[in-house]
Amino acid sequence: MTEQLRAWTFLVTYSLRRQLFSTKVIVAAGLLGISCLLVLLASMRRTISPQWFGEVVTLALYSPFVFPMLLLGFGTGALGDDRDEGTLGYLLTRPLPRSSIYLGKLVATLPIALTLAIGGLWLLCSIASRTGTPEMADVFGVLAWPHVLAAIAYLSFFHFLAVAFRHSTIIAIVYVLFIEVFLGTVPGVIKRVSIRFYSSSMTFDSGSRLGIAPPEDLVFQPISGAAATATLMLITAGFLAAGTWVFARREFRDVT
Amino acid sequence: MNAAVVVHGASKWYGAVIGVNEVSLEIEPGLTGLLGPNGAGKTTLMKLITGQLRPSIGEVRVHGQPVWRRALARKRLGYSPDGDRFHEELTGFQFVYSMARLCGLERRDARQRTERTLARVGMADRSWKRLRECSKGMRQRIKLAQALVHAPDVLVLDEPLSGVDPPGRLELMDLFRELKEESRTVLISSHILEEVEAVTDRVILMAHGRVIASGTVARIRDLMDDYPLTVRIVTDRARELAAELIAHERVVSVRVDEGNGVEPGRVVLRVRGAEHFFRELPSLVTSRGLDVRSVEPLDASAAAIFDYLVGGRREVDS
Repeated sequence: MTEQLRAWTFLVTYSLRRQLFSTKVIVAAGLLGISCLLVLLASMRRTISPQWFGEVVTLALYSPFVFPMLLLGFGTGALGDDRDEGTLGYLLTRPLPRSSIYLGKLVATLPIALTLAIGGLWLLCSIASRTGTPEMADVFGVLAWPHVLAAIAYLSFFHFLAVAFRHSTIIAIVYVLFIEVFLGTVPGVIKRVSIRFYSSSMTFDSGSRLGIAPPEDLVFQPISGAAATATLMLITAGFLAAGTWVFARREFRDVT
Repeated sequence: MNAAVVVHGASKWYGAVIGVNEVSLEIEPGLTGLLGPNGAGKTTLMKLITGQLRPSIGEVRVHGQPVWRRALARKRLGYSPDGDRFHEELTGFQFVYSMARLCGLERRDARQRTERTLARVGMADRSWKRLRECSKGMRQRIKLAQALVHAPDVLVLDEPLSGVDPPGRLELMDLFRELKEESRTVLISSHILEEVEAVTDRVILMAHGRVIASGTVARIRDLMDDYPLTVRIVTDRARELAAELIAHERVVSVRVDEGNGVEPGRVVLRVRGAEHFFRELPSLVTSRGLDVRSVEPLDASAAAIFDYLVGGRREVDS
């Protein structure tokens, strides 16, 4: 193993450890706990069907708000924490190419962020399945892949924000509330600027056999699953490339 | 010429503000002091040398490689920043070990080097303390250790003695001398002249983003001899002393305050070649039977000397 690869591997594990023992995990667990409680309360009142779960839980609560908010902390914090703590200088003076630092920091967030985001989704599905219709057992299988792709796209976007802007967390929160929560529900093509539009389109495409469909087809107007998959991958690759480019060229005067 | 660090015509602008202005210098193995008042551009120059900043114009090379573009150029570089920032949740050992691993060292090698380096900076017995619980002096030593742990041959140390107690300073100065004996290239910044002078062979003076003088400590001292130092002498016979001093070849001006019978008199004079003057003063005073209570330089700080030197750029051959 070359020295640079060894250093990069250590960067990933070191960053992963730091994220694992951060307050972000507690915040994410809190958000998931509230979501689980709401689903539990709902499951006590009614028999949950895939259609209801798809509409209410994933499209109204989890996908537009809890999911991106949970990922936001990890995406913006991967490099943003070092920047805020003033310790980025220690990394920038190591013999690692800046692009590899950028990539390594993103890779380090994936295991934790995906475990929490997709694990959280699995937990919601499991709680709903306890008193739900038999088809509920298949819902997680339908929702998992769109959410995995969406999670990586969000992380890539938030990671980009952290190197492009000083107060990336605030910008990311505004983005989630305005673009994902608000614009993501308005009629017309404007909602296509939100990442969740594409994960929702994928969900509707693969979930149609379970009755998971947009509440009003004419208002939501989903695109095909293949197109949505390709778009999410493009968003991920685009922000990854843009972030790498910015980080490799940007000077951080506010670091130690 | 075997300069490890070459800065060629480098300028750095922060918008309309100039951080470093047309700096060209070569730093050879040994200890080099980078001296200047706060805001002189020392830290900007150090960040250029360590590849954290890109020069607006000009170039900075470490061992012949452009340090901003080539990550491998930083392999032989150690940097101790001025800022007191750490991953606070870690112990000193964990932090230095992590920095060693981030330089590509293998686990066992990194562990051994971390232990050795922490012992070298006097932190062997305190390395298991969490950084948030460490004193300023201990944190300085940890910063130094993380810069040294991968055995770089170029070390850039930004205010490494700041916050260290006097015995600790002596220990670290000994360490710097050891680094010199190991033929490493060490650049140490400070705004305190005496601090740098005690350990370095060569000094670079900066002010307003420019290198205003550079050379050996002895030559810089000669240059500083031209600077008229203000000295206050407290005596009961101020007028008589002033009359003697005004005739002295090194005295530029004299002002007398005769006192009021309760307070003793004072003579405030400006003198060139202060070192020689202070050597000659005792014999002058005793030969006239004058009673001197105290002699106090009023503006011997580095800042005052810089103000004088900034008047014109002075190149000193080393």
